[in-house]
Amino acid sequence: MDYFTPRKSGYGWRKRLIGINGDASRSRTYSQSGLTGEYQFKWLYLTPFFAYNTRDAVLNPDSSFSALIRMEPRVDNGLNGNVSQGLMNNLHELMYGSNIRFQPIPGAHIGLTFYESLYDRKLDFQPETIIADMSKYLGHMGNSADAEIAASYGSSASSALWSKAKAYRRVMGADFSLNLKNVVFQGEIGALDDNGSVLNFKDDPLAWTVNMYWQFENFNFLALYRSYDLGFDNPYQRSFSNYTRYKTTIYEDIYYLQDDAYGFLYSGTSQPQAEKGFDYSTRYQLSRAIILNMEHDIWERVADRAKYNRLVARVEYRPVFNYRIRLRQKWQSRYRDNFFTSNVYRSYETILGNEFHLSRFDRIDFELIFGYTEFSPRARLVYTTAGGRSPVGNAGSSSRAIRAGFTHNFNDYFKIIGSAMLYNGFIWNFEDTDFRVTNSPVDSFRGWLTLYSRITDNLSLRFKYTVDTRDGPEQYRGSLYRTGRRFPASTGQHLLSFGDERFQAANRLSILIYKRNVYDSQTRFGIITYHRPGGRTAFRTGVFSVHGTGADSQTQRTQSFLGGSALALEQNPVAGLHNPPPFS
Amino acid sequence: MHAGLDLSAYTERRSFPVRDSFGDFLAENDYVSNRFQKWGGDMALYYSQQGFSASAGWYTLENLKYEYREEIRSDLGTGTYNRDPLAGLHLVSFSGILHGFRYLPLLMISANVLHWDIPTPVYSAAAWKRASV
Repeated sequence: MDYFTPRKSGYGWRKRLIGINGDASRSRTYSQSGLTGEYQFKWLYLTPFFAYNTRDAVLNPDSSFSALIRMEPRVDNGLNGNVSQGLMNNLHELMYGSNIRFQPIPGAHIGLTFYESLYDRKLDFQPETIIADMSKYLGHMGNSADAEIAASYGSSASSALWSKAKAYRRVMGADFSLNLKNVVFQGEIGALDDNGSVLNFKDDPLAWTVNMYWQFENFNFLALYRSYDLGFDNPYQRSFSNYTRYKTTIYEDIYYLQDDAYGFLYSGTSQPQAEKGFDYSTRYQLSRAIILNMEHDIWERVADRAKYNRLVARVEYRPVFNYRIRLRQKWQSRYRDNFFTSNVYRSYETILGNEFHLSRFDRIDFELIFGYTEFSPRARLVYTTAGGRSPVGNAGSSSRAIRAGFTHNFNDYFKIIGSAMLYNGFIWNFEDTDFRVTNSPVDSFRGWLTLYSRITDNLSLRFKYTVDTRDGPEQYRGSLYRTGRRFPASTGQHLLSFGDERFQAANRLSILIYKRNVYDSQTRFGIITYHRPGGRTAFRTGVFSVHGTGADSQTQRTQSFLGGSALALEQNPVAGLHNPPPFS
Repeated sequence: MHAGLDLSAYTERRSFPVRDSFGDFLAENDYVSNRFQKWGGDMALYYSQQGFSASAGWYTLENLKYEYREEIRSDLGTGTYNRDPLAGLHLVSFSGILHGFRYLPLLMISANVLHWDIPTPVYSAAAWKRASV
């Protein structure tokens, strides 16, 4: 996988893929072309892999490279054309490794994994290649996590295996899982070889996580602890975290970088941030009518020791089956008790919703949203109309919205879905197939209408019209392209899509021809090839897709669906330091 | 016997308008956001026998709690790690509760409804505190 999912535990809906799988990535950045297989001998499972790939990387003037980069869309010379050396297809990675798993009894295993990536360029992180204003790097409170950049991995070495190799990255790790009746315990550890001695872990940065999941009929409980060292710079790490690597670093501030495209080092990354903390969540069905949910995460960002707290409580009450009332309350904070820092924030969010499920799967729903975020006032950022600076700064921002929506099925093949919302401030919600974020400092209206027709059992047509009186340019950074964090579509593989999100027009028209994923795209053994020549048009084996609108991945995700055309290395707990497999 | 408890959570926002260079309104910027909670309650006992009844109770007439906290940041020059160090806080803190007590004995003198009622006094106990930094 090559995209980040916050708080992905491997349980519940966020299942972890086990073994060799079809490509589940959204770009070509971390896909693998190579040879692999699974071999089982009694209770011993072997999954060796070998791959050779062309990668996108940030090159230094001395032809070494600073970092791998994942871009959407891929742009060779940057978004402003400032990257003369090119960003695409400029690095080759030869990778080999294996997963070895001992599973003496069902429900219990111990696994070992290792991989080595060899690069045909020296890996030498040179910040001035990426950062234009070096005075802001490591010395600016707005980028308090810059230590994470400074901890980037570097290597200069040769290999007997590949004469072109000039650098390597080696990761080793172990994992275990144990089921005892209705509870499962799991853990994983990974070590990045930083001292040249594979079996000497003394100075190596580590990342580890342990968790347990306890399941009853009406109650479950998940507890997880993770601890990732700052120097564990492993591009295949996908373990549990709240944020991606390089959040609150200078990579977020594209105006300090040599080119806007370097913003993808943060916004495109799939790696988790170095965090240390405890997370637990629980669900309890008190009665047939009442369900309680709670998620609580208490963690510290390793780079600047920022203390975070996130608590979300949900209650659902359904007096009768077809009518549901939902209340969601979130409390989140950073540096809650440290008012000396100006990086403090406290956030509160309340969502009250109700749903009526009518006959023929028709539906009406209403929502009230209130939110408030408090932070430090920074008066120097506010100017008065007279030209001087304001004596008071902005110490908080509020949001509120009222929304109503409906779904009406005319028959089994045609339905109409609509929603209207009055809002002010920062609002997120699920909108048809998308997760949408809107932001407006003044009262605004957002409405959309979708006509959805299933032409055949496997092919559907979706016509959506959206009106937003304040469709935020805030969502866009870096000229025409978005380099900010994107929000993935909740479902679907779109075969064709039209409508350009780059235009910041108030009204938007998009037509999506939608293909349901009817095949399980797993393969157990194979030689994998896949080709995507450019950022805006993509071809994969057996799949035709047009990224006609390019900039936004959330409506134009294309994945292989014709049965295993590519490989995702999800097996590897260290390479991917994924959270353990789902409880079964 | 009767008992009641009220909990109230307050959010106080104080804002100033932000305008663009044409003078058009852009947004309300909050320079203060205060949250505090208040409680109040009541409790009562009632007793009756033939020809006689009595009730007595306590209740919160007013909870005067108020918390104001405004953070002041100073402005240091470019190149300083934290350009917005904490300069101080404007703090105002009030607390105090006015309690109410009420009792009512009732005596039936004849079959006609005649009763003896004591006017209700209010006893207040309040503590006041004010602080600023």
